[in-house]
Amino acid sequence: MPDTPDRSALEALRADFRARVASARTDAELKALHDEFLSRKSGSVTGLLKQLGSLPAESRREVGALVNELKTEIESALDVARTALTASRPPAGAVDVTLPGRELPLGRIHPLMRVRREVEDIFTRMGYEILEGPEVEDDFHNFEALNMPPDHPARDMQDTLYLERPIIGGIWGAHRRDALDGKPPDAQVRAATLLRTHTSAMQIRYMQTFKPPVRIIVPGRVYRRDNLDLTHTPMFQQFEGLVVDEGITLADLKGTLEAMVQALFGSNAKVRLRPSFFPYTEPSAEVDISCQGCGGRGCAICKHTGWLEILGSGMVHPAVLEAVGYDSERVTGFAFGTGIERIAMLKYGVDDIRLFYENDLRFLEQFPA
Amino acid sequence: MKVLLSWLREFVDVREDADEIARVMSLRGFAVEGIERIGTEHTVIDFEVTGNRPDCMSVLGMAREIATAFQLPLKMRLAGPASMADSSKRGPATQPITITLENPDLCPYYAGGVLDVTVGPSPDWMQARLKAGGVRPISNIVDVTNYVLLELGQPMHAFDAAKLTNNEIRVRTARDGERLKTLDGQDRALTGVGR
Repeated sequence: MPDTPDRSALEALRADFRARVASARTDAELKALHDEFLSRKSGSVTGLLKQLGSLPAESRREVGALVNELKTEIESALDVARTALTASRPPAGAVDVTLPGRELPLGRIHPLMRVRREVEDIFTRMGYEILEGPEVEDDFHNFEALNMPPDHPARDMQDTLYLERPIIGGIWGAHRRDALDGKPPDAQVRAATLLRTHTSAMQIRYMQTFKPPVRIIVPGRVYRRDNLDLTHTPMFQQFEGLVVDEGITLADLKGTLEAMVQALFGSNAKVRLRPSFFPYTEPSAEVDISCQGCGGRGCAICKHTGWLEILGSGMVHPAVLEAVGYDSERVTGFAFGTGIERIAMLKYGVDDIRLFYENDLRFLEQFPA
Repeated sequence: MKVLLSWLREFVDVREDADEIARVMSLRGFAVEGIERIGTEHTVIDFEVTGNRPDCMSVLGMAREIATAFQLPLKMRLAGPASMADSSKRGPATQPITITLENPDLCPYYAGGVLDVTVGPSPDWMQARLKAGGVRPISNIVDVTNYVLLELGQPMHAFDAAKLTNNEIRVRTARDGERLKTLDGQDRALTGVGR
């Protein structure tokens, strides 16, 4: 660099810049050019401007104008080059239509919902009506009409969750007024005070609303004051079956359960009934199926008994039929109920009920889509 | 209901082992929740007794059911009140106690006796049977009431005769607003039954 800027030095810089800006292809190259010529500290054009002060006064104005002209040229040339570079790139977010498609992870049906749908399907084929009931219930439907008056010891079998304040005005069955012969749904307008402990509450609501014959399946959530462990959750799902008509017998119950179990677990599954007790059925029976782990020979899963308990059942207690206004001398019925989780655990070999509610994809993805 | 097999066999000569008893009884309405072995000699069968069978909530009750299932005679061992009538064994503090039933429709019969007892631990065999039945041994007085409850299903309670007011026990329902401190140390508010 000469001591004082002169015309030829300026022209040399200009030529150098023009050649290099024409060949710049990237933002980084343009940035480097800018720094080399215009940077505040070490740019060569900036250097020329700084030296203007050492020129004699008569040539300072002329040379100053030339240097400024060069600076403006460089600035606008860089701008043009940057704009051109940006315009030549695809816009942000642009799709490369030549790429192969990306596969999205597909949701699948939850194992509990699979079992529920399977059960609904089995009973729909047998001519049952599938319906749900309210999860917030009153004492009458959950207990009293099911032959569990206040202070009945069997209420202790199910630790109940009560509401802090009763809810008034839930009317189940209003949507089916056609079945009520114009009558209001008597005894269905009660203050709800608890979370239902079983779907059996729906037996009462249905029978209060419809005359026999009855043939229903009621799936749904139920609530009990249980702590989380391998086999308990405070909220779980049940399905309830109820059949009432003239001449219904225990043989009908056993045949129905056999058909259900074989549809769910395969035609080799056997069923056995053991006497038990529920206030709303008489006689009552626990239902076992032959162990799916060992085929009934005895193994760790069935504690070497060959049988696994899957549901509770019985013939509807006459007091229940009378509570809903049926003639217990004329009609009889059977009822059964079980946990959907219980069936899913046996069917899929799951040993911890909590897995169904943790929704860990590593667990859920083991079930077919 | 945890039942010690050797205790059960005092009431019925059942020769079958615990597994076979469990198998037969579970088909007769008494599901078995587990079989527990204590050492090499003792076995405890845990029966699930449904709410309609409170009569089976004792060794005697299960023995009666098992005797029926296996078609065996039930050996009832009835003790008389001989020791209580023996005045020579009475201590100096004992006076007759009056028992008054205010609600005979709820509690038609209440029996009691007065004994002079020195408080101490109960014998080892009794403590072992209580533990097998899931009851914690406390003292000879508490233990014997629990022992009778486990064996015969008869609830009992022991009172300190020196602390009775007017040597009287009144059996009645609670009144509104009454408070009662129960054995677990909790102070409980009671409500009347409105009769």
